[in-house]
Amino acid sequence: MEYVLEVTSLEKQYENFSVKNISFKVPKGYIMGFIGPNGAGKTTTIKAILGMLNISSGNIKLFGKDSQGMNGQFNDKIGIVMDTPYFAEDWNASDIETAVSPFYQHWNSETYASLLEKFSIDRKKKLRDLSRGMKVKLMVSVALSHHATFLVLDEPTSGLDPVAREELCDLLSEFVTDENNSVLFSTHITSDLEKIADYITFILNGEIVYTGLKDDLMENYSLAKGSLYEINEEQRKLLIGAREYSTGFEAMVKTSDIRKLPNELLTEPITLDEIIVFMNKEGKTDE
Amino acid sequence: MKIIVSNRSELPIYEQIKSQIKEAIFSGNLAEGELLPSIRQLARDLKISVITTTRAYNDLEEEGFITSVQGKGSYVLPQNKEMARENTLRKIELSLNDAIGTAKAGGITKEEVIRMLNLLYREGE
Amino acid sequence: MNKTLSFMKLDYVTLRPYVTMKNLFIMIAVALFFTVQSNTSSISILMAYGFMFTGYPFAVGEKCNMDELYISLSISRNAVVGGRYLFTILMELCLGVFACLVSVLLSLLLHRPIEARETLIVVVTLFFVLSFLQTLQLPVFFKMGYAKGKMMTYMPLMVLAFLIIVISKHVSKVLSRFIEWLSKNPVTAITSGILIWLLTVLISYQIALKLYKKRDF
Repeated sequence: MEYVLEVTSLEKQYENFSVKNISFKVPKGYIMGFIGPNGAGKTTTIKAILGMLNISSGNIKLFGKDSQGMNGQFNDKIGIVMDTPYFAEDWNASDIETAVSPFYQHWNSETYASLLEKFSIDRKKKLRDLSRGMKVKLMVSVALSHHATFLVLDEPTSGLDPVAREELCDLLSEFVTDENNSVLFSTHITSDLEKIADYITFILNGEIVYTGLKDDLMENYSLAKGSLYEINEEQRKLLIGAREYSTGFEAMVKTSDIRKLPNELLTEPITLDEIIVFMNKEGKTDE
Repeated sequence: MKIIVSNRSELPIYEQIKSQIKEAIFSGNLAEGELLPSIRQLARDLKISVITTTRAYNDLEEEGFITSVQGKGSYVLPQNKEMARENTLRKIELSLNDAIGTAKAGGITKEEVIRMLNLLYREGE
Repeated sequence: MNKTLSFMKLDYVTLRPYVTMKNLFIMIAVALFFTVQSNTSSISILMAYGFMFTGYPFAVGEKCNMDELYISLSISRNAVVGGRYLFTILMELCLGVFACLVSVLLSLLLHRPIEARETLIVVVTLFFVLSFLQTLQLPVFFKMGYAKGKMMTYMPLMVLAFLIIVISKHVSKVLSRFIEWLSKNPVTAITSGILIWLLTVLISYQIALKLYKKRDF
């Protein structure tokens, strides 16, 4: 198994926040979703991987080589989309091309032009006059125009309408039809990932709570609903992030624990969103 | 060949794909030696993950329905006529059990059901 | 070196949208206004512009998160710092030359005598003084960005500039003797001047580099 990214024991300390023990690997040819509630440490982790932050400790390997972020010529192979554009706001799409193309070994003007056309982006319009959706599409166009094989996106879909989000997910799906391409996609809008992600890394309060196949994560947990009177103390401990209300409760449970619970409870498959919500709730009650 | 998957089904997506491909093979819609869509292209078309389609194809290969050739893709293997027949019988059994359950619940007698069966067969000819 | 030069071009593309006819017009108009007063004032204004422009790449860069862009393009922090220092020095040099030309031109137009030696001394002095002030300002910009850096440096620098002017008035005797010595030993003066300047720039560059490397974006 080849990995485009290997993060080992990454740690970054801030004054009142830190990410620690961050370890995960992105296998080549697949889409990894990086999920977690806002403030969990997704952007910090991604910036650390890209060398935008100085890390306290840990090791990062890109394409099998030790890297300190984007040193050397890693920029050719890595396409980046951050949640805010990092281009001069008075630049238009043509200015952006003029600015960045000298730094890439294989900048493809035709690809860039056809992507701009596909997204209906006016080359002469200044960046600051573009809508949020257009800005994201412009960043994606740049990321896809220099023969990158690894796309790293940090919250690209926040602020986008469902149509735009669908278009972006479609683009990413298309990207990995080539098995040499890989994607790392951080988001708190997990419905996007539920369908197309192969792997999931889940971060909560600065630590990795799960990293592995998406299918395994979703099969390992289920939703359980019922009345608190139906369960005993022992069974109560099996509930994760339980939400109680006047007419019952709902909680996440390990699928393997379902046989330990009474048949009266309703159990059903769980969504990624729900996993995040319940894990987050459980995490808060632990404090 | 048509494959459609439902996100809201109780059945995992890879199972849905498997059963639809098997159906197509049994019914003859997928011929022996026919090339299936590539794992990645299928994932893209159905808007699902590559791991999911890989799992479906891997299972089908293990169960002897298809074979994969490096660099070319996956092909339908010649099928055991016995297995196809058994599969059909299994499906009929399921449908009949369903009908019997409905009949019993609605107070319809076995004789009435058999009469209906004969009528339907004759109509089909 | 390649990346440094490419980065300078990038800075240029960054500032290009702001190099408008309107802006140029305003700059030249102000310079001309001062020219009427005296030769020296126009030169001072023109070269002071250079001092102001140093901050612009930082200003735009910071507003638009462009430090992230540089990282995404694999432009090393060395290239960024080196590029900005080079850009600044080149800017002052060009403005110095431009100021000389303007001064000559205007002297011809206004039928004033071309005081070549005086002009040259003023330009060279200003170049060193402004350059020195920039070596103080640049590390601050690299450490805290444009907005905070501007706040931190403008006041002290204004004070420093003011002090220089005041002190130079009071120690004019020592100063004029120094200037006399300089004119008698032009070669020594120029070489030592350049060496001191080079040293200051290099030290400032090293400090700026260290500070910029520590930053998180």
